[in-house]
Amino acid sequence: MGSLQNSTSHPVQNRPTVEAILLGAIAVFVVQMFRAGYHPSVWWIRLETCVYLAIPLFSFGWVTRQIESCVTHAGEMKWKYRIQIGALAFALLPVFSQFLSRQFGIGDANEVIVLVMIQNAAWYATVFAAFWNFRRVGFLLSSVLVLFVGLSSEDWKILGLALLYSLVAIWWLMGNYWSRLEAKVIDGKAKSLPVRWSFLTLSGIIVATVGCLAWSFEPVMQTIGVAGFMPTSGGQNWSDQYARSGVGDGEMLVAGDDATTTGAVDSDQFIEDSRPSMYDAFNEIFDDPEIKKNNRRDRAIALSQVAKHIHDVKQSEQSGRSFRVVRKPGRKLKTERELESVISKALFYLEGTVPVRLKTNTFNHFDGWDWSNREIAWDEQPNSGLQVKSIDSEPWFIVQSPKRHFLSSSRNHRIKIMRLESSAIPSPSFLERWHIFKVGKRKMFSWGEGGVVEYSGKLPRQTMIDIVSSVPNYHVLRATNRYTNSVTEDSNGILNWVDGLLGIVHNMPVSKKQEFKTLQDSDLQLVQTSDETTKMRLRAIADEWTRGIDPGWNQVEAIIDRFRTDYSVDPANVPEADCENAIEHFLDEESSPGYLFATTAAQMLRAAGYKTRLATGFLVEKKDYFLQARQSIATSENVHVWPEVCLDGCHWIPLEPTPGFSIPYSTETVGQFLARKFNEASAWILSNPISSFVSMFFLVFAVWFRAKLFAGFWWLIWLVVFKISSKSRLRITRQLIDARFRVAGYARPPSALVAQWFRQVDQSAGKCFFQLWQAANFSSLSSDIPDHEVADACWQLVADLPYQKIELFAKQAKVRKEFND
Amino acid sequence: MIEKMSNTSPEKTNLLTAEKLAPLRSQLNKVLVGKADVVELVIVCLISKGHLLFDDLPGLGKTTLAKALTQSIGGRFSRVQCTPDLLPTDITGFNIYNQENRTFEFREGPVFSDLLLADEINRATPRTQSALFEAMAERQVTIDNQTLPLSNNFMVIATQNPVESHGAYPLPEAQLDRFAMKLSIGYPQVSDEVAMLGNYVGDEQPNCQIEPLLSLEELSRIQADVVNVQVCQAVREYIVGLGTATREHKNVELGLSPRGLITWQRVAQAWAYLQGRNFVIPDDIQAVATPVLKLRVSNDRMNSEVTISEIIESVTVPVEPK
Repeated sequence: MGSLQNSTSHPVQNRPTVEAILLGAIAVFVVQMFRAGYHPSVWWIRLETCVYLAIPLFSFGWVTRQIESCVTHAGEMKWKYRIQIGALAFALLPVFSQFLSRQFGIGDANEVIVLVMIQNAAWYATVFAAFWNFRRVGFLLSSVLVLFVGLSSEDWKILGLALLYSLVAIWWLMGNYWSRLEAKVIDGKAKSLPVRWSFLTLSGIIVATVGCLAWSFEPVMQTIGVAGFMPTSGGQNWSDQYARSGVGDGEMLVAGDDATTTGAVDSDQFIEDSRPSMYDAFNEIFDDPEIKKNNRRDRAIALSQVAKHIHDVKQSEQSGRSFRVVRKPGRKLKTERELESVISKALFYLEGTVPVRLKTNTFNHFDGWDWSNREIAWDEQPNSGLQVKSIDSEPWFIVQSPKRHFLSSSRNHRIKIMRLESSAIPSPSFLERWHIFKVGKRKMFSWGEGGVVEYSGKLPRQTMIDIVSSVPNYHVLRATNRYTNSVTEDSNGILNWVDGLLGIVHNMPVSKKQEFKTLQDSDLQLVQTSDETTKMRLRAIADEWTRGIDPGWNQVEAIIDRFRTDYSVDPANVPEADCENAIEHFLDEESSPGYLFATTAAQMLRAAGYKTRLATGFLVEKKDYFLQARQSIATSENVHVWPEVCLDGCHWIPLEPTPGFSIPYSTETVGQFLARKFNEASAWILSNPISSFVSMFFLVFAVWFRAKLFAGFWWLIWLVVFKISSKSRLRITRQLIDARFRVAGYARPPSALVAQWFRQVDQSAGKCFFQLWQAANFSSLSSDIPDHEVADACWQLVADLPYQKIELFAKQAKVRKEFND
Repeated sequence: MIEKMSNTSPEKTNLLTAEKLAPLRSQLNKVLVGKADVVELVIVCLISKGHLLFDDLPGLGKTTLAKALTQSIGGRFSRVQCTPDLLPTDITGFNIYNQENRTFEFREGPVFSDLLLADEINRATPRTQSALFEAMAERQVTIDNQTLPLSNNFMVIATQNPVESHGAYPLPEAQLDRFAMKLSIGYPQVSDEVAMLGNYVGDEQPNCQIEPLLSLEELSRIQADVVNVQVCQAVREYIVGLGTATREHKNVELGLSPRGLITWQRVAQAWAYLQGRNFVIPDDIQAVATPVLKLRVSNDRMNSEVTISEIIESVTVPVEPK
């Protein structure tokens, strides 16, 4: 460090203080919290925040070490310039980050990007305050950011942080400028700012001139759009998909407050569209239901219940609340449908993660042709209660259902109703709560017959519903299954410990498995098929598929998996109009439309002893996500039918037996993910032992002999070039030996002499080679050395310095170095 | 193979001339036992037309080697034992009034020789030391507005003792820069010391056996050959890079001057010449870096070696410039 260490201006001595770092960090958090209020992904914000905080801190430590190890003034100056370039790059990092995040549809508005860029500049300047007098710049930028965000936000957390920033800033300022303040106080002289009259005069002239110009022109009575820069504007002259909010768009429009315009997706084109709505969507996709013939037998209903059954079916058909599994053939040509605009058919828009199943109806009773809401004889739990609760000053409707351990996390969705002529709220399974802007009357919602929350009328168009639902963790269900069915689980401490490691809790509710089994054993009335033969067939298949599998969720999964693997979807293979047993048709044909998968799976699960029902609604998948609009579009193409199973007597778990459709959304912990991957890998290895062994052998071989392989690779390259070009033989030979040193972990430093370095291994190595090589590179004297002599010299050096010799020397050199150290 | 290459070279005569230095090398090695590397650098300094400064502890053979070198070359030799009361005119010479002729006559000082041994040079006052500036740099002296040329082979071999500071005057930077290299001899090996003692048994002054082995004409021819040794663009850039590194190094107050760069290149040419080459390679630059830079980077021996090492490590060696 020499002379610089004695200098008071040496940068490394001016390390950033704790207060300065705290101020910079608070400013970062203020900006990021403000940003999180408008960003679709909180996790992305957290990730970026960590990255932005970490980069300057780590860079500072690294750069400081580099500067301390510099031997020249020029080296230090280079690093200082690199620090400046680093500041520019770090400030521009949010722009590059946007390129990435917008690929996932989670971009920021332009003004937010600018804010984050300033935030980065401030944080970088704060951390690197030791260099280039960055300290004041960092403090100034941080203060501006906190002031701006504090004025733009109403979030009490942000305001609290701003207050904390103010306190720390005052403390920091007093600490830094106390000596000056003290001097001013002690001398007792009145202090005043130095006034420059020339400056004041010039300022006055400019203000007067601007004022006169403004007075002389007529005021322009129109709003000047600052294209997407202001925090609350979505742009006026310029449409930006990532703008933080549009003018008159969204909740305020639904609430009727300040509704000035409508955005592109909410235009009259859709409002005035007279196309059929949700109740016709099923017919559009699955075709019209077949008309019942009078001579059709009704075998599934006991005679004592025939009258009630007829009454119920008639009522449900009239209200459209039934689903017939025998439908007319003759669908519209798909190509014709594809030609129609997807957007114009939107029933609703969905913001949030996909895939998601949004059910609009469920059916318990099946008579062989129709699923209906008719009650059946099982221990039906009453619907959960509804409660209105204020969250963040907004009314939220809370579903009062017991929280289960397999429901480990939540996810949010926002639905914009367009043409959904329905009173049922399309809601995911495990609904927790929902919210509609300024709608808070409890009586407006109730549980419908289909087990879905319904509005008192039809949902108005452009209603925006925020929905929060729980996400299941199937690993917990499987663990519960094992727990419930394990005889020795109490004494298996290791198993419990592993489960605990994976986040699995063992005090689970007992499965309803045993109750179903009792009912199933007494009679099979819950299995509703057209005849007893089908019922017995279903039970036989279920027994076969679940043989050796623990009862509970594992059996349910096993049955569903068999449906997905053993059967195929064929929308055209519908039962004939005179078909009286659609389930038999499915089992015989082994290919059918999706609704027959759901129907058969539901009955199969009942035959296995599980409480199952049919759900209809929408399946919004990844292909429906519209990146530009950052939302998914649900059309009639998305109507779907699936079974649901209830294991705990309270929650209905969605299932997907139809191949080609995504399985229900679930979550897992990192430990569970790793364990799953490990199991999958283990299974693959066990199923492919020869391939696994060969792959593992070559992998171990490659890793173990990686250095030799590299050396061999270089030798091959040398050999090829050596043969091709006689002019570059000396060069490529030198490069080969250099590569051998590098591979051996003893690379030649740039300042080391070639011959001296190589001859460390063997003093007599390549005497002729080096003479030729030196003459070729540093002398302008022409030599007529024949090619074969050059080649001999090259071969001699390669032979003198084989890789093994260099490797041995490198190891000895390392030992010597360690010994000396 | 190298012979074949050399035979095809137009400067093959250089190599033959260099062989004439072998007896000189052998004779000097007999005088200074076990210090072949020092002897080699002394010869390098001689044939590069540089001036030499021996800097080491008393009794290590500085003066002995210097005397042996001077005696090995046929030419005029003079010696100055520097003391604080030595005057500039004691070195350069002076005009004296001849009462018989009633004219001023010039009496040449020791600088008017081919080899000048300035023993304990740091004991002379700066004023006296400065008398050598013009002689060392330009091989001439100016006395009473009269410029007198010195021998074309004029070489100063100075010695100094680094440990005794009392009554000594450190050499100014301007004078240090005029030396080509600074050599330290160091203690010999035990076996060499035993052999050395054997030389003195029965012979009071073994140096008396030294004979002139190189005539001034031969020396001049060799020096002319050294000047013609090739230095390619990449090597020149390498020298400049190293010189720049000395100027930027934080431990070096005054980096290498352009004169220092020229000296370094010339010494490297001489080194290459001794190695039997007609061109300079980066190895030659590094080989003579320590004695050349020791004069210029620091007076502290330990620090200077570390600093020189850092300077060399900070510059990339040209590998295949073409």
